[in-house]
Amino acid sequence: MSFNSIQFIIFLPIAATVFFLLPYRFRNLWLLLVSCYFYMIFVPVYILILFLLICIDYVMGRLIERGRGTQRKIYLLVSIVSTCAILFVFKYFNFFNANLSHLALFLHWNYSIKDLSLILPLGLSFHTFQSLGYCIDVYRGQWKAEKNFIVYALYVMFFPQLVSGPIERAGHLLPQLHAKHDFNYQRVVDGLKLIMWGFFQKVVIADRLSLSVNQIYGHLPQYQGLSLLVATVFFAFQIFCDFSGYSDIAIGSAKIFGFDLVRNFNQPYFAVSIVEFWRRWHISLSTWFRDYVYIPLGGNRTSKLRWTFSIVITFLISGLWHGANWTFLGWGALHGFYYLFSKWTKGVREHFVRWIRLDRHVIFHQFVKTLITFCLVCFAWIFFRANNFQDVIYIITHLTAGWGYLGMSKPEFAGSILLIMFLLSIHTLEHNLSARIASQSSMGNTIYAISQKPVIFRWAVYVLMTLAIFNFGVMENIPFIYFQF
Amino acid sequence: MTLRNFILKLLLFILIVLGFQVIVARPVEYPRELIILDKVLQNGFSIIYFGDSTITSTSKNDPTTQTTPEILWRMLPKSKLWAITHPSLSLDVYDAYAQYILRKGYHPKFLIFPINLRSFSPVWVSNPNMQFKSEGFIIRYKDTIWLKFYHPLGVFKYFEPPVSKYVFDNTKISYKGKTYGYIKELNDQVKRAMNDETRLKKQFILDYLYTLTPHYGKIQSMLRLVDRLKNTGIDPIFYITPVDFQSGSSLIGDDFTQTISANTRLIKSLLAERSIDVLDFSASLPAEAFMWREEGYPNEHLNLLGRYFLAKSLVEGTNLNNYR
Repeated sequence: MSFNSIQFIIFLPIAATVFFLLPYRFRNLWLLLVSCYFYMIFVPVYILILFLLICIDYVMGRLIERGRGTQRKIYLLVSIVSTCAILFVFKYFNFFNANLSHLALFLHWNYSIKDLSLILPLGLSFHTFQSLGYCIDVYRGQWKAEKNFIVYALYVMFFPQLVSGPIERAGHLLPQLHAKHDFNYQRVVDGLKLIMWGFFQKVVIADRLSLSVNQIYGHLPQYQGLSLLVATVFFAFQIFCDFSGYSDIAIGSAKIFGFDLVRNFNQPYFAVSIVEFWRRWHISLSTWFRDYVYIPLGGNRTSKLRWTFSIVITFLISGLWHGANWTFLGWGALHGFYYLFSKWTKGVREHFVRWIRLDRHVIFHQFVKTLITFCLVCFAWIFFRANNFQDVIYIITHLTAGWGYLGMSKPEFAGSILLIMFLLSIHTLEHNLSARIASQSSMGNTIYAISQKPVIFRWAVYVLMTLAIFNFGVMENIPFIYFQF
Repeated sequence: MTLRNFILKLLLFILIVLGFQVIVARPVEYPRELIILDKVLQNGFSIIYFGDSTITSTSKNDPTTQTTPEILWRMLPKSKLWAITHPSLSLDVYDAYAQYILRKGYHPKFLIFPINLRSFSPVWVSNPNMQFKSEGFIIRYKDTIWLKFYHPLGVFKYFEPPVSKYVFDNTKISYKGKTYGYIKELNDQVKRAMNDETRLKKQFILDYLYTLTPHYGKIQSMLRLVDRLKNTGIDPIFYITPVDFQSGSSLIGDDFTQTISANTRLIKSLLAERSIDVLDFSASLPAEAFMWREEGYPNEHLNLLGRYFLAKSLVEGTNLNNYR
């Protein structure tokens, strides 16, 4: 079930109302049942894969906790290998097979393994990582193995975060699944406000921008220069609003039931460096990679060479996680390069800033850093959005030519720019408020600030926002970008 | 605040939003056919001929490009006949048109509906691109308050096809327990076919080998349409469009003829139960009357010979001639 569907609009209130009316002991079971229903709307049979994954990691978690010495390592290895095997078969097999086949052809080897005709189960990359994280946490002794199967299954399957995260940690979500959640008016209302903002980001901003982006990226030979640049910048905001919108709907939905999910975005395009960008973008995934890949590889307490290796590997895996395509690997590699380059040149850059006296103009300096970071991120998005490497090369080589053609109508362009400006002004407001109010969600401060206003003002804002979604939302079916991962 | 009070407050909010939506709703773009229908009915046209590409396609080898309605027009020069056509109109949309005609209080005498057997096949019925849910909604609710909610419903994917691409691709094509394959598989075989015969055979299977039942969605739409028009003074005229029986049976054999016969029998018997006669032209024309070989895929598009036969049969088989 997609969040931006009538089905979900009907499903959520029914699921929540029944949840609060049921006795506590049945609530987790109810949530599990509705989560199964939510998932089975896509491809029903794939629930079996999810069930298999849950069973493996539930059993392994218990065995790891009971085991001793090398036994525990073996159980962890079984969990990692089996979980990764599922992910490999569904997501990466055809990619590796195609590349091996090309290699074999080049080397004149006889290679005849056929591709698998499988559809990637929705959200597989998300729930495999969540499940893996749990087993590693149990192995490290950071969390006790969950005894209650329903609670564990719900930890993996809780519908708001099932398909595209945020990727939860055992230590954060499992205790909440054991707690009793009563109806809390303020939480429910906050959740609904977040959902509203999520819908606005998705159907009004992201989907509107996607119309231009899809047109240009889908017919590249017809475009060059300005239109490619505009499409890439629009894509930067499209992917943000698409995923941040999804995350806000997920966090808002969970909030209604009384659960807090982790924050996924923190105004990433206000980052003043690539390092900071990764602290603000897809936070639940980047912290997952930090804790389960980067640190086990040695983290920053090793030699420079080993640290460089850890960074490169982490970013390459991050790229590959997004999709089985060389373009995603290129995107990951480029961000890895940015990251290393920014660390290596930190001293030189600081010296240069002092030399040109830019450091004396703090606000302007911040602005320049933000702009440069944004440009670098946009350049990397070309790799992420392009269908293949030929397209990437086409875009890069045609960026400087043909600057007379916008590639879209002027009203379309103006409308998109207005939406981006609106988003940035909301982010500025949120950014300025964040110094005063601590918040878990991307819009928490603004929502809190609005809630302090008189009732007429509040309701006018909510009614206007809903009407904007109703009338300026895009009707075309544009799936959430992160559904494909 | 309790759950009950919250729900009441939420309902109040929803009512306010819906109220404002009625005031500020964006205008809806009507299908061209609906605007034309309004005009012709306001001008007192008494025979409306609905149809898809089976009545509008013409062959490049035809001496004249007159479509079936145009030929019919010439045969009934004094009648006020108009054709409402769209390449993919089908019974669901015809039903929406009938609902609209009745709601607006128009009184045509005859509504002619072709029953295109290919449009009953799973390839059409389950095809996400052939559902026309939003067109049906606009036609049904034009000039009503419900149309104010067209955009919100569209934004939340109300008009999305009920079947996903995955389900469509994996729909089984079978007849009498014999499985011919799945839609995607057969379509791939069509694309990869080494010769014309194999390709055409697969296409005939995809388009015609299915078993109709009274519960089939399109059959239900047809019956709803009949029930809707009952006792309204508007006579529906149904006819089953000619099918290239000759080519189909030579490529597929008995399964083809038996399927078409069984399906047409069912349609006729269900309409007969409601005292409606159906003109069955399914096996009336030889292969030479079809023009699909020009287009490269089997269909029910007719050349001039076929179109002339169809128009003449419609005049002879009904009392259109006696009505002006």
